[in-house]
Amino acid sequence: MGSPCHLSLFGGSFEELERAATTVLEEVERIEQRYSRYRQDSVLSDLNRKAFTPQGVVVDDEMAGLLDYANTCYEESDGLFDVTSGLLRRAWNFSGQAVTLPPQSTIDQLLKRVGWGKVIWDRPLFRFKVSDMELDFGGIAKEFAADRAVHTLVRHGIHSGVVNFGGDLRVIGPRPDGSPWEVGIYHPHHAGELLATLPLHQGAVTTSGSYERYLEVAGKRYSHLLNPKTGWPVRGLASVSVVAPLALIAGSASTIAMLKGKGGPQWLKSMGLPALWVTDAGKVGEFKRPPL
Amino acid sequence: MASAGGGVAVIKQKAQRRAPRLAAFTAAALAIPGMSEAEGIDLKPENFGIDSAYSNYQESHGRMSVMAIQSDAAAQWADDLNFKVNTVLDYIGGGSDPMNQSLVGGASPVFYWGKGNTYGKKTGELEYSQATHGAYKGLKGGIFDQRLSVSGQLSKKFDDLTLGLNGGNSTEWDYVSNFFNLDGTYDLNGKNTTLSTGFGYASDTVWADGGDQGQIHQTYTNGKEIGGNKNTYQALLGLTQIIDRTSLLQANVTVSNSSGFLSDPYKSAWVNNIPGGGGFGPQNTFCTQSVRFSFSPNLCADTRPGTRTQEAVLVRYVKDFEELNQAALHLDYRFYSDSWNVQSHTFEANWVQPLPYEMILSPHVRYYTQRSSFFYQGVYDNPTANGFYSSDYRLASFGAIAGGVSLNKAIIPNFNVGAGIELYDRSQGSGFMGGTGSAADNYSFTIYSVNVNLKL
Repeated sequence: MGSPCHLSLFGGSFEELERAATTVLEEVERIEQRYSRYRQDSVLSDLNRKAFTPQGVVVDDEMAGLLDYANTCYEESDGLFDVTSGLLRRAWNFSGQAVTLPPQSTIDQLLKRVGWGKVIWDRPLFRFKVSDMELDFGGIAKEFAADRAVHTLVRHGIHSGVVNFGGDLRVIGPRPDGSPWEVGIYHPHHAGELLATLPLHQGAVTTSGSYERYLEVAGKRYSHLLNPKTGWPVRGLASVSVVAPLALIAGSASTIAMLKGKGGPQWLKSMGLPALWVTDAGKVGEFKRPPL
Repeated sequence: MASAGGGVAVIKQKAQRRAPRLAAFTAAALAIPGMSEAEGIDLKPENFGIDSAYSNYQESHGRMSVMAIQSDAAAQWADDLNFKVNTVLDYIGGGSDPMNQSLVGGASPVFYWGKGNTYGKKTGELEYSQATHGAYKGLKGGIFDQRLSVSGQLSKKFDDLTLGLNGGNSTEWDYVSNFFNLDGTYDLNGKNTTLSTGFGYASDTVWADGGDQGQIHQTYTNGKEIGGNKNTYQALLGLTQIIDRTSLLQANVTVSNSSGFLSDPYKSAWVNNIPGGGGFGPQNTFCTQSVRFSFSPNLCADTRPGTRTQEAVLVRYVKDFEELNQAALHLDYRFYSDSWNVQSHTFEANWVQPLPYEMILSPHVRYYTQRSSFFYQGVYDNPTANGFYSSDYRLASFGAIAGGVSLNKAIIPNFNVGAGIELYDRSQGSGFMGGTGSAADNYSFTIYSVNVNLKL
């Protein structure tokens, strides 16, 4: 999963909680095993190896559902959220120090193998049209796991708690006394400081930002979120937080808003979910849902 | 989507009554196996929102409402070591139209200059002595602010000694504070005597909010930003002594020293007999002016000395009356004095009376008298030699009487409701300490409060 995951649960007995937590961890492990690009034996890696063949790959219902969701994200983001764009990370090294920016030729070569338009998705058949393409569910799998975790817990009779997967969290239900969970959102420009606190009774809040993983070259900051059409890091917003009923939706929305850069706030308004954002310049904006 | 079946179509139809984009995401998400099977979870976005419990308190003219959202997570690291993190988000909204002068008073009263006022005075004639505006909200002014405060506490208990460290940050639209406190309590005489000591330091920055949630800072007419840094050191020494089984006595001494920008960034004072003549138009050449209040050269920005040393002594007596159903009496006396020549006395008495049916009645009364600071004037007859100007009513001479009663009842164990009424009357004439005050600063108010507490 690549990030710390934390469960806070309230239940009737310790055994009940332990049982529920174990089942959740099994489910999360299952999702990780299937969709991790780090694992050679995952279903995703298998698909990546076999999808550039004339007959393509027939996928199961869960993978099909995720591919349909990825397709929706692609269409609703005007092509900015693209699960084939993971390859572009090969040009950028965001974990360490780099002295120079990647050469445009490297990026251009990679761009030839990137683009949801270069796949054939005809459920349940999946095919790559170009060789050496790669699917990356990095923007989807963790949030999907958070929602699955919550649903598993509810099935086990747990109705109060929070599932926190690397800062993206989904509330199972309010605290036992009915009070909401207070979620702090970090300020992207002032390390360690809180931008806001959000009380949540239910639902999910996810935050996408350029302030934790980035590259600094010649004093300029380059975010780890890459525009799949240009291969270059996006600019405009430093962080976006979105509240939605499902972590999957909140996660996609906050990522797409970041990818839209200056157009992010406008896109968030069209989504209609409560959102909070900070621009690169430090201006804070928010969208509150109008009463229905 | 051939294999998803009729279920998806139904969900899509319901979803499309909402924003179409969100509907597309929701339909696709719910179609993933395992996503829609959660019974008992309400997935309709219109049913959740940013809402939470709040405590509500309305002033008598419906002005200020305070929403306090509070949470804390306590974790025990070891038996005797506790770490606690508090976050408090206070949203302070309300305030009144600054030009509506019939609504004055309140927790943080504001007085406005009567330009175009409704009291039958001539345009430009001074009605009240002080001009002020609060944190910015559009053009209507009033008090509108948001505060976020994060603090952490660490405490360690030895045998008879407990040490604590507390620090944090508080941010509002016109104010940032970083602070820490150290405190220690020491029990003697088999816990009959407790000594307490504390030390604190705060480093604050204040400015006048000119809009955009504090991003825009107001300036003086010379271009300099209003505001600055302020450092405060504070020390406390206290003693609590158990006298007998039903009574105790407590005494505290506090000293503090502040330096830096100590003026009020929003207030201005009216000065008569100024060089160049008054009215509108002539330039102000003798004092600092805020841009907001530069339409008349008679207005000078609130300017106070750059240092202030304060001392306070508090004595408290508490007595339980077992024979009166465990009633209790609290008597307080506090003396305060500072280097601005402000001095005050406070006398307060509280009675806590448990009643049948799990009710508690608490009447209380307080008398306060204060002497003004050496530089305070309601209206200045002439420019001052020292350059200090402040018409802040809190630095004036005045007396105040307050009293009230509250009634609380436990409905079921752990669930309390309460109601209260508080009357407050401040007037220039009811103090006994002399000094300068102004009848224009007199006000009174009544507060009604209701609170509900649930503890599980």
